[in-house]
Amino acid sequence: MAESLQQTTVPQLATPHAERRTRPRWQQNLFALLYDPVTLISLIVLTAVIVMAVAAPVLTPHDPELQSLRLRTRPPFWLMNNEPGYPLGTDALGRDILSRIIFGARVSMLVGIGAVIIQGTIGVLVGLMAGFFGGWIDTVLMRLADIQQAIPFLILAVAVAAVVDQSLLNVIIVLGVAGWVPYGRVVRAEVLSVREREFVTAARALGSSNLRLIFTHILPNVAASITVISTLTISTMILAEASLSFLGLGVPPSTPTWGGMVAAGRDYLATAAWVSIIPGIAIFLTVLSINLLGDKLRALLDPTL
Amino acid sequence: MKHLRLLAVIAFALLLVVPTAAQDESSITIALGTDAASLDPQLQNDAFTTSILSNIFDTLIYRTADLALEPGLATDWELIEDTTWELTLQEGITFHNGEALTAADVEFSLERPLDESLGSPLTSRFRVIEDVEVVNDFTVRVHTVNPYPLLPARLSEWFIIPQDYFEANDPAFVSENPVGTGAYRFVEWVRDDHLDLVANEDYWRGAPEIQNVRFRPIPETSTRVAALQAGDVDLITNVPAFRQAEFETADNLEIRTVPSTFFQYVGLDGTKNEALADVRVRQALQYATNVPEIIEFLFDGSGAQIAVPLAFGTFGLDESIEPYPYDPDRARELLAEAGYGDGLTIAMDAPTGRYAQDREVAEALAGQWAQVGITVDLNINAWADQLARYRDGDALVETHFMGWGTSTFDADDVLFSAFANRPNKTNYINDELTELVTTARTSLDQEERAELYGQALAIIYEEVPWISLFQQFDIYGVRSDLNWQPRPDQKIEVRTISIES
Amino acid sequence: MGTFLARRLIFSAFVLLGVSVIVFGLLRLSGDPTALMLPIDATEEDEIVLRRALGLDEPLPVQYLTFLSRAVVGDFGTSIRHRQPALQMVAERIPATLELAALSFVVALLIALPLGIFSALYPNSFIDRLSVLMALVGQAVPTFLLGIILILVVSVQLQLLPAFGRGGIENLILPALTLGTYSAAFINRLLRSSILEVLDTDFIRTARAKGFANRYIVIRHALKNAAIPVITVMGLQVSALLSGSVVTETVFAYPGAGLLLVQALGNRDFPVVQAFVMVIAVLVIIINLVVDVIYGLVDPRVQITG
Repeated sequence: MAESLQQTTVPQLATPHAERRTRPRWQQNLFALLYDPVTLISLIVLTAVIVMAVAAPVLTPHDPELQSLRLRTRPPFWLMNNEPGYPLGTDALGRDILSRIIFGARVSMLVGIGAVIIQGTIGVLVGLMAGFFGGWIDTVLMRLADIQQAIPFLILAVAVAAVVDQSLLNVIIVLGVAGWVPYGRVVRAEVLSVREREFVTAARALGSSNLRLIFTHILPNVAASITVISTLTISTMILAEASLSFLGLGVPPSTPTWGGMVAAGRDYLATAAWVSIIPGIAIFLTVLSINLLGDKLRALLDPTL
Repeated sequence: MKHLRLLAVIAFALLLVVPTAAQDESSITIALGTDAASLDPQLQNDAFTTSILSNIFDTLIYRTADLALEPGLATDWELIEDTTWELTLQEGITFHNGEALTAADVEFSLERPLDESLGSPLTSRFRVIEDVEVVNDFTVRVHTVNPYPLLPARLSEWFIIPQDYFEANDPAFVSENPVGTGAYRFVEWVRDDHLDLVANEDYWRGAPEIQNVRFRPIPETSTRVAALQAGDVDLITNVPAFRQAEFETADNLEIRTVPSTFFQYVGLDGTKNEALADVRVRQALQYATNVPEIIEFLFDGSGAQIAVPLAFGTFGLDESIEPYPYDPDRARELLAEAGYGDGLTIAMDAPTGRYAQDREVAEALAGQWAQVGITVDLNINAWADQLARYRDGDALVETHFMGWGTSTFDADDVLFSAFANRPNKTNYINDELTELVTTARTSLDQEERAELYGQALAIIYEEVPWISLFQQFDIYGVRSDLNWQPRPDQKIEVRTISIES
Repeated sequence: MGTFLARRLIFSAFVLLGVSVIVFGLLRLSGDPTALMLPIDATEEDEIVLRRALGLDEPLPVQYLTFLSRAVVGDFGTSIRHRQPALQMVAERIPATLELAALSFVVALLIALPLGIFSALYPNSFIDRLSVLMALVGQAVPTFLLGIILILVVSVQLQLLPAFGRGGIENLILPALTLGTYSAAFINRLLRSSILEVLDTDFIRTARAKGFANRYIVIRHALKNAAIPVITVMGLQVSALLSGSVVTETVFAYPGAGLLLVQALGNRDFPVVQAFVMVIAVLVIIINLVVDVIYGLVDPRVQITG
């Protein structure tokens, strides 16, 4: 019981906290984690992204918003006709792509993680309550989910963009509020199947309170699903931000975001592909790393292991 | 076993993939940015829709590609009193359904939009019409509410529709099954997929060469260009300027450009930011704007700088006015004189997804102004939001980047509603200017009007209520063997296209 | 089962009511269609006249009640921009989107099922890594970028398939690939982790210990149990596909419901958006109902409630 409680409090991303655990299994797992080359590379990529996000102003060679039309769409260093000092080339307004990638890491991570925290919190709470209590609570919550699911999030995005100006925070909130239903449904489904298992019925027979049952028995058992969904949705959100930018509803364009850069560069794919492809690669690597790591984490978090 | 079945399915699917059929010689496919809004010409106000409709319908007066007015369905028009124009119709013209064109159809066409319950977005344009009088089957008199020099220009925009057909059928049906007098008859429309027309063999100007036309909407620019490159379509609109180079190397594709009637500007509202009420600050902004750089680097040269807010070819424009030079030092000086030597922050509303590279132009302006110490707080709005703010007026921030297209090619089109009308969107008040523009509005003496507009433009040039930017070029991509030149008003008249053999 | 369905039907009415209120409200917040229709030099008076003609001048509660009372009998009003019955416009688009959704779902399953099963059977093996990676490639590229690249390569360079539009199956392949690869990654990963989880449960271990080493049996057991989360996600995906194919349909100029939605929203064509959302709402209700019933069939431990 105590063991599973501790497991669920492990943060979603591997952090040094975990190393202080003295349980043999954890140590074992951690070593396995660090010796695995794929995981290691993922960790390195993500660390790099986080360092970029945190230390962006120090790392950038140029102001990410400074433009020079005379230097527009210069190719990166490995192509002909590149501009010294702009290793990854420049975009359609002559801004340094490297600097925008570095600053974009910050915005993209904020969007990804921020939206997932909002939708995860709403979704998991709803799913747990609906699945555990059943009855009318389940009914009301699930019909609420139906309502949310029936309203295309574009409508929400359009309304928010019309009422308040487009901003980073609004994009995070729109993505967060519109995205809780998958968590809610998957968690509920898992809870439905977990709550009938022997150990839960046993604990209930022993007089455990509802809250205790939910957080010590049910939650750890659905944690694997939550982790898988969360990691996948961080990347989904980074991509959703790109889609919003594609549809003209994203973060204001001078603010560098990876998704926004890919979207703004798409018209140049045939002539200056790097404008769009380089941020595309940044998204690709980050998403890949998050998901690979999320997969490993799932193994660690799974209480049945 | 299952795998085998799967393989069979895939193989079958691949068999269905046939190479795109070669175009037969008298058919062409044209890809536009959006589909038609409605095929009832009086229920829409949209450039692409008008472009399609110009093949199905005719106008009383015809605007040639070099902007002259010549006879259309009317052979002759004459001002017989200050507020009365008499038009003589061509005889023997029939609509596609066989109905003969008579004065009654003209009366119907010009009076129908005045019915407010119709919900036509064009009602405001027709309001100048007091009454249409049928003199005989082929003579009509148009009475205007006041002397209206722009009437012939307006008559070159308004399509003539068949009265009986419109009155006999349900509006929803009519708006999907257009019947006009034009060079092409309507065949079929599957919304957002294709709209087919076929040549009208009995067309009064003579049967067109191209037999079948298909219009297809492709909203995504890169897809539209790709569709032309892949040979799926023969003519596309709105090619991005920076992709022109690709066409130079392609052997069977070409770029055709034409200066459009659209120009871009930044409106300055002195009531929302007191700095902008100071003419020195407004001039400083114009000096700090490097329009040639934007045209050269953002549009690869496909644009023309304007000195005052009117497109070239517009009646009333003195084309000898030189634009402000790019002079950042002069801008800094003026700002310092006005007391903003330490810098100034202004907000700007700018649209995205409307004009060619609109977002990039706004960002480039912000970048250029930053160099003289003006920080721009840029609000990039989706087009609908930008327009909603614009309509509201109060909702706009202190400056706004917009485009303006004239359809009458007359200075009145811009100058009256932009600077003389109260309230106008920049809350600009100049009594002398208002007087000049208002007088010109109802004068029937074109020489006098030209003179009045000359004076008005001199004031605008000095006062800089708007930052004048540039006039865009419309860029089309076409199959090289198409004989066709684009018009400045975005209409694609298919009857003027022929295919080289 | 009968009472279950009856109750769901009643609740569904409330869901539809909730959806209609929220969508109506959000749309009115989003702006005004007349602003987009009028010429740029139109005056405020012109706006008032047009709004009155379109019934947009009434107080919002009156407009809502008018909408609701007509919607109940299936009349969702007339498109402001196109002057066509709104519901009919939506209905005309559904087949195209269903075609696209179905084919992309097939694409997704074709990719996800084998990869998911393989990687779960050989966790941490080379095959596993490769399949995870393959699934991720599809997931890690923004949809519109993938779509445009496919067009540039397959249609322009190789001249194999048409670049856009609707027609035969050849027009569907590129958009279905674009849309399907994304779901494939999702389903693949969910399948893999679910199967792994099931393989670790006692009854499979017992089965294996008892000598049921037959992979086929293991997979059958595992798949059955892994089906719950996968079915859930599929349910979500079907409705998400309907409105979520917006980007794909825009890129490929594919005349489906998604393109209609994005354009109607762009034009603030309220009646069309309202009709669209109500259709989606009905579909969501049906799909979720079916999913809940399937739960009960797949996993007998789950009792159907609600």
